[in-house]
Amino acid sequence: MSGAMETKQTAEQSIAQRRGNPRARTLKLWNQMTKIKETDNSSGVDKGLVAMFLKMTPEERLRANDNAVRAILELRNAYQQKTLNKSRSQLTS
Amino acid sequence: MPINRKHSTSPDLSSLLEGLLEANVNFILVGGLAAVVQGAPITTMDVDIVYDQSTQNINRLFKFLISVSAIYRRPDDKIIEPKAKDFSGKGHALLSTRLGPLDVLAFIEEGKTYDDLFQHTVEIEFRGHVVHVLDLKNLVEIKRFSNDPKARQRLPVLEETLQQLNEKSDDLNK
Repeated sequence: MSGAMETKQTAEQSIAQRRGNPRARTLKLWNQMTKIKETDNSSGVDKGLVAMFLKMTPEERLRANDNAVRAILELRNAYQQKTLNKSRSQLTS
Repeated sequence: MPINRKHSTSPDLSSLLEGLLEANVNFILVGGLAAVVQGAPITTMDVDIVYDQSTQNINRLFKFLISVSAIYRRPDDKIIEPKAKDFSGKGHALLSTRLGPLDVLAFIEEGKTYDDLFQHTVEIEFRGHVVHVLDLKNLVEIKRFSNDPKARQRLPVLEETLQQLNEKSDDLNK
């Protein structure tokens, strides 16, 4: 029964693919994406991000790190300020 | 008595690295920034170096540290400036400078010194200078046997970067 359904789906897919059906293309893309995601998750590392960094020059990588550090510190300061303001307002109320 | 100086809350690790190079300090870049330079998509908040312990180099390093207002990083507010003799021993100096945190290390895991590590470095051109960076293969090896949880946490990213670098190198050699 399930084998027959699979055969029917496969036949439908192949007809749709031959006709250039957008649904089939989406399905194909989805399958490819799922495959990529599975590979990426095997080591828990974002392989795309690694590839992106490897395309950069060492100086660009250092700049990216500097920018990230600044952004992290800015966010930390903002969070600390918010926590401080919150405790101050709790004290006054 | 040292004066109380507040270091910038916006570090510039690239300038810190450039300063060391301009001061002609002989060092090897290790740690997180060494991995960043070689393509690992991680973020690190400090510069870690292993330095050559010759007297001339210690003098150059010390002069540079004064120029960037280096003080020891401490959990309390005590201001303790480093002294030149601090760098002739086998210890580490974890410093705060006006350009950002700088860890000045006499050695790293398994007691490896500047002389031991130099053969495992790659030369990277940076702002008109050449910086010696501990190669990714050795960085991975060190992190693999490290007891530091942060190092072990980063290990998969470093391993993936090394793998992709090796694949690229294989493709170029084909």
